[in-house]
Amino acid sequence: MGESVLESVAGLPAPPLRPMVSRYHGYRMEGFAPRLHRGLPSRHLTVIISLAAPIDVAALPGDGRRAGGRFAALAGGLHAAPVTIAMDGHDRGLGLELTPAGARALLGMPAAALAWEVVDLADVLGPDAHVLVERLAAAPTWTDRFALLDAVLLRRLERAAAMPSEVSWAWRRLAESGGLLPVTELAAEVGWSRRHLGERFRDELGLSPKVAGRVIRFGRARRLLGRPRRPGLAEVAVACGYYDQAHLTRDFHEFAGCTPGVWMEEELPSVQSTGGTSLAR
Amino acid sequence: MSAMNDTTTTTAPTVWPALRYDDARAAIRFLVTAFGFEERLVVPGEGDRDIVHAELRWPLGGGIMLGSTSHTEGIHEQMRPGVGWVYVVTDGPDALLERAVAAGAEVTQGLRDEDYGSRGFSVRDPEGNHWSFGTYRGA
Repeated sequence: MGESVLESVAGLPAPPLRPMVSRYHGYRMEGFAPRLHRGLPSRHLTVIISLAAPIDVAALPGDGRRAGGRFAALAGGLHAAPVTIAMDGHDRGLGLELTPAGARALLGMPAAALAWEVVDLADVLGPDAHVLVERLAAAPTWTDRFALLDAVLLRRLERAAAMPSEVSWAWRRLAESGGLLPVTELAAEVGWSRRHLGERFRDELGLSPKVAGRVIRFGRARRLLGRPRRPGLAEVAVACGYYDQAHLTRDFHEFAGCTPGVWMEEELPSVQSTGGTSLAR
Repeated sequence: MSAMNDTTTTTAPTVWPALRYDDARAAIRFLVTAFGFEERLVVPGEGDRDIVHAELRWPLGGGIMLGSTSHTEGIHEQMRPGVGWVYVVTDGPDALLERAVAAGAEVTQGLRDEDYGSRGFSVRDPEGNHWSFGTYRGA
């Protein structure tokens, strides 16, 4: 086998898009052995556009190991269990981290419509999707590809329908608190009963506030573990608001399907490892 | 098993040459295709060709930072294409500024906390070359 290449490029979207798309990510892998990759739950919906072979989603998140399918480009909703992606070791493409507001503004649907699912991007973007993939493949640099995404997404922004403001507020507060703000407090802040907030939140996002908070907390922990100078597990557990390291490990089992040790061993450095890089804003 | 054989990542650079371009997007295209630099981070601004900040790595180690000249905020106003500028990572910017000033460096921008989380300052050395120091370590 020849030399292996792992290229990983981060990009911020154009400023007007940033409330909808937190980050672009370009990746290129060559000469790696085929393997199963764990797509972990996070506070973002995911769009992946392959510039190589179709993306092979071996299993959708959740019980029952539902089969996924193969997609030239896909959109995936919020989830609280790992997605299994079969990578062939020669992968090249772009990932977009969409916020729930981005689901509405850019995909034209509430995040809940995609929760726990993976669909063909063409089914949600329409004909834009195919043209986009062709033009992305022809662009010479990642900077140019990110600019193409900006241009296409900015055109779609005008159709934006906003999230209900109370749910939007609750989501933002929950995200800012690293997932730690209790649901009772969220409800008090928006002036709804706990139950009503729970229902409206689930209608919009597809996860309950409680589960969303746990996913957000987990996302923080996993980002810390992806940093070049990785803190210890106990330290990460404390920093992210877990009771202790065992508590963090239990969430890893639920959200990643393995222990933190196995995840770090098998997934870092990988496409996911750049989730820990700090972005200059 | 020796630890060295396991090492697959290169140490992140802590001294970065910084360059400014009128058309930063075209510059990146040139640096990637002509020299073989690899993009690592791209932060666009408002305009079409506008790049607030970008980081390119050299495959053998090290890297450069660059941005568009349309950004003239603070220290950036003095940075035109062709002007040399070096960014150095430090964990102790406050003490380093004192030390630099004591040695005769001319402060072009005092200590400040940037919105991307870095704390740092900029000075000119006795012959007018530009230096910036900060806690931001690169993407």
